[in-house]
Amino acid sequence: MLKSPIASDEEIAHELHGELIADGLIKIVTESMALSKERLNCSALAEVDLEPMLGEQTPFESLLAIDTETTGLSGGSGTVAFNIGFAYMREGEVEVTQYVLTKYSGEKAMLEEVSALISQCEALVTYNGKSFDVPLLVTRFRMQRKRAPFVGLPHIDLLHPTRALFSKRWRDCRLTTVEREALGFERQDDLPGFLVPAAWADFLKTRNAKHLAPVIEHNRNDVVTLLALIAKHARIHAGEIDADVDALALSRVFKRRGQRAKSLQLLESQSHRLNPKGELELARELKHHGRVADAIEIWSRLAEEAVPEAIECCAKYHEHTSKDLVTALRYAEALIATCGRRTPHLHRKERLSRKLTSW
Amino acid sequence: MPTQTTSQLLGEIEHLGSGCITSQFTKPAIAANLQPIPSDVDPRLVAALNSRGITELYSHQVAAWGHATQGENTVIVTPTASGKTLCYNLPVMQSVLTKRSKALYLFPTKALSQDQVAEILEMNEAAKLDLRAYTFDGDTPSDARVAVRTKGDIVVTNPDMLHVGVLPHHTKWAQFFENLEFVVIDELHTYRGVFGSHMANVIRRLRRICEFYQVKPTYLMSSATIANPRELAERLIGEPVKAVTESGAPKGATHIYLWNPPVVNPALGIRKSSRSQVTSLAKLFTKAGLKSIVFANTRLAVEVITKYLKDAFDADPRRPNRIFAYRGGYLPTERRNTEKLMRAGDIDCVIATSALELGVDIGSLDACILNGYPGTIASTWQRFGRAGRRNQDAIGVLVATSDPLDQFIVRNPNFFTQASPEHAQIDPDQELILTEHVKCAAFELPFESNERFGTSEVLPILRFLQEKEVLHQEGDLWHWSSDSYPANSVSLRSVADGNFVVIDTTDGKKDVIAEVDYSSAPMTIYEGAIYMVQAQPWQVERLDWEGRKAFVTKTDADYYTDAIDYTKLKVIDEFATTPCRSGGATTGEVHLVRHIPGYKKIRYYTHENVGYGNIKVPDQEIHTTAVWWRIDPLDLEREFANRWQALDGFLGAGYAIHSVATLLTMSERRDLGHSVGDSSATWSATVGSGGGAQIQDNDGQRVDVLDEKIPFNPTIYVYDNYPGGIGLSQPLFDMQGRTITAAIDLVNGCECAFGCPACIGPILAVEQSGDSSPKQSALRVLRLLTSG
Repeated sequence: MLKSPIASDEEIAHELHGELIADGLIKIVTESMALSKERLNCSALAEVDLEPMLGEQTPFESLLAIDTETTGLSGGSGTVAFNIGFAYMREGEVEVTQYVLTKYSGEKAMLEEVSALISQCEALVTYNGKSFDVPLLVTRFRMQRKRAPFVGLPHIDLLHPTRALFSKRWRDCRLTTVEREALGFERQDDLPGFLVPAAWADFLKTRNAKHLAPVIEHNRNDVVTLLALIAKHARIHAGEIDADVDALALSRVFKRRGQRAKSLQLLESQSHRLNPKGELELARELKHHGRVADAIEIWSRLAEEAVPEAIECCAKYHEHTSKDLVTALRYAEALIATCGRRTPHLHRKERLSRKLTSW
Repeated sequence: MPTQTTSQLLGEIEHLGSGCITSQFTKPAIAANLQPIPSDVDPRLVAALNSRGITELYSHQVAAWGHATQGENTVIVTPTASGKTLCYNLPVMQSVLTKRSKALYLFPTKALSQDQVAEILEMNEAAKLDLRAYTFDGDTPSDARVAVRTKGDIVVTNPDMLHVGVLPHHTKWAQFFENLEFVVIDELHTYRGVFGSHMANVIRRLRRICEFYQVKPTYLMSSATIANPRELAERLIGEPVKAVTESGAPKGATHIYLWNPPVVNPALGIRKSSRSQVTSLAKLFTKAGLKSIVFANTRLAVEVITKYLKDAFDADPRRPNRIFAYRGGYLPTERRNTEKLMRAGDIDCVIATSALELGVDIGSLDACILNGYPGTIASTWQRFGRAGRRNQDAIGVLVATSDPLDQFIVRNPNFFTQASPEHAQIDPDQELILTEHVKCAAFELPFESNERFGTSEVLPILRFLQEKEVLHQEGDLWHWSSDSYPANSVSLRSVADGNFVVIDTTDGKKDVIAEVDYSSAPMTIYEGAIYMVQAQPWQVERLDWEGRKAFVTKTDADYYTDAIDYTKLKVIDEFATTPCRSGGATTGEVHLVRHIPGYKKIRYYTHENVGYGNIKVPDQEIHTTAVWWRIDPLDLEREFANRWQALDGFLGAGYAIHSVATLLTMSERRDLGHSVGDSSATWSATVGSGGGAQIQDNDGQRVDVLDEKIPFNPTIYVYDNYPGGIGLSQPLFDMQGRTITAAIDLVNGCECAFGCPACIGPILAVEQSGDSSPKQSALRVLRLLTSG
């Protein structure tokens, strides 16, 4: 009985819709024509203004999304990226370039290609890339005794801003969850991340391209989603706030950047959706901008709902601004009733009582 | 300041110990050998030394400097408190200052690591040297780790961290390795046995990585006094080493006493407890105004002795404490505080475990009392070395416990006084250990087919690992292709197969309270076993063999358990043999099957057998190396009235040989096993519940040894208790004549009448039968086994 011959690398490349560009290295290029239009509206992407988010003029074409699939998840020098995917915009279209190893010996050539691609971009986009993908690639470059091309390159790791804005809303911030909830795209038969190392092991044993195909598809979806996701974030920064966005978290991002007016504007426009914590922040910002009357309106309302910080703010306002000491004392006592006999609260009550009796 | 003259005090000691002191001798004083600071030492370092009051160096520090600055691997073998640290700190700091190079320091424990960093930082501060020394271990917070890797000049860590946290992530340390000039290994003598074999392989991996970064660091090592420091160092690092062994540090004379507590039950050989003796001595010294240290071998003993002494001296709460305990398990802050007080001379007596044996500076002490023999000659001198000032006499007393080794030492003072310290043995090419580290090394850097790992060719191992689908071969390169992280499953202190954890489930808890290695597990944590931790008994409720877990609950049972061990050995290969007066000694490879059918429940104090339980653990089958002794059957027939007597003799002799073998090979008791069986492996002998010998066949059925049809060729086996052996059999075979002589001395010197656990093992013989006792039978067997 004839054993079926082991596939050659060229045959594997062909089956994966790619090309063998060096010994042990396959390159697969996918143009956006092959991607679903609902998912990725290319013309809309080209119009995305990244400045609100990144703080400077950055053409969308200069971004490079990157994601790796590895032989293990523990890090360390024994972990190899056998599949590296890139997504970027070129001439108004989204294009995906992926590299896949058929042999470990193809790594050197792969890293050369990676280096060349990265040197042409102005910023990297990843998901958890700061902790995983980039350190891993740095390790691979060092193992090959080559300088890694990441020094000084801006790196936008979307995991952190995504968590900041959405983690309260969704069960988790895994990329497929983000994809489904924020981008409206549900993958079919996606290979889960933890099965990727096993797929590589199976391929090594059998040299059958069918083990690699789902990995490559998974990787392709990942990098395309990164581009869609950064666009989504950019739009949020420009003011397109939907129900899932944690407005308070976003306002804090603006505030940290010194964009306090923007932070206030956001909170005001979203005030109907803020919880007490968010409303307190809004009141704080209103006060900072001198709109004390608007602030006290919020505090009074929240004080009715027994929110301690609001009660305290009311006490302070009536003591120092409206000079209505009777009301101030009422709030001071309410604060003690709500929070217990804490020293500063007791001092305030005592101080107000003294002031009132001395009249 | 002692309030009595030395001779007065010695007189008092001798009076207190009349009848107990088995030997006394004086180690003479050593004069200082000082030399000028070498001219090539950087002036900034000279200034730093001067600021700490150092204007000259000891001869050994100058010698070490000479070797180190020429790039020669060096091992420094001088006593405690002889300024060993400066021997390596000086060349390292010079190199960092002048070349901005890096150094890696390895200490066996975290506590020592932290002390060393403190010392370097002090010198750094004193002379504004701008060196950066950091510890890197499990406690280093993740945000600090980047700084250590990229900015540290001197990185201080331990072998376990190097193995699991540094080497597999070496690319993160690229800057560090590219500039690595020195590797410092302190307390070299701790790297022996299983731990040392692992360490040698970790160093092999380190060397491989250094080669990748194209550096060749110099190794500076320090060791306590053992017989073969240079040989150990060379085997550990795989390169030639220069040894510096003459100490130039001054020391007063030390008066040493060997002390055996008085007998209270001659028939059973029971003596007064060593603790009582130690306490009396400590009280004597403290009242005389001496600063003392008491070493005990268990944490429990430390606590008990401390309590007795505190009751005597710290009863008044208004006055500061004079008595302190020190052991692992105390918080680091407490230990640092105790060390500080000791250096300042504010503590009169500290009671410690081996935690205070090494390294840490505790100032000068006048006396050292050992509660029990620490296990090796080297450790004994290391501990005695803690007492001694430059120009004053010191005192050291070794008080024996009832442990057979202790009794042997204290009754054979010549053994102790004339013994050179032990040879430290390692076996880096032990099959299982080597394979595990080749695995870890392959994760770090792909292997080439014709590469050597240390002295071994790795190709067969690479092929084996490929079969296990952990490596993938492409041409001449073997790549790591599994998703696991191999270093996580290798413990540097055990041999393969996975340790067991003991989990306390009392009141619904789930606390890990102990770890048991694979080979000890069947005999100690079977279901129903009473397992003791710090003298607190626990009972094993359930044993998950595959999961390597034992679940225990607290118990107050009034008995302890003793597993019955039917170990059967079959000789597979003989390497060498030598004749004895009768029969001969042989070394070779054996196949061992350990079957543990059940256990006895033995009541405390009365030692009655109060029950039996079954044990269901898998038989352990291993191949290992062994030494065995046999006697000519004709001589046996002539010497012994019947086969039972001969068997008693073999069992007793086997036990005595095991005891002295651990002594002579510088190993732990559990590193070796012993067994008595028939040379054609048809039966094995054990001590039965009646206290006498019984034999059983391979299915555990009792055998009638008097049956003439059964061949009677009893053999004593002493084997390495690890699969593949651990390198103890060959040295033991080389010393076999000495071993027999020592065993005879052990049994002969025992004051029991007919045999006891101190000499021939758990044979309960309170009467003679005929004209022979088990003790005499054992001696007969041993005499027949003497050389030539």
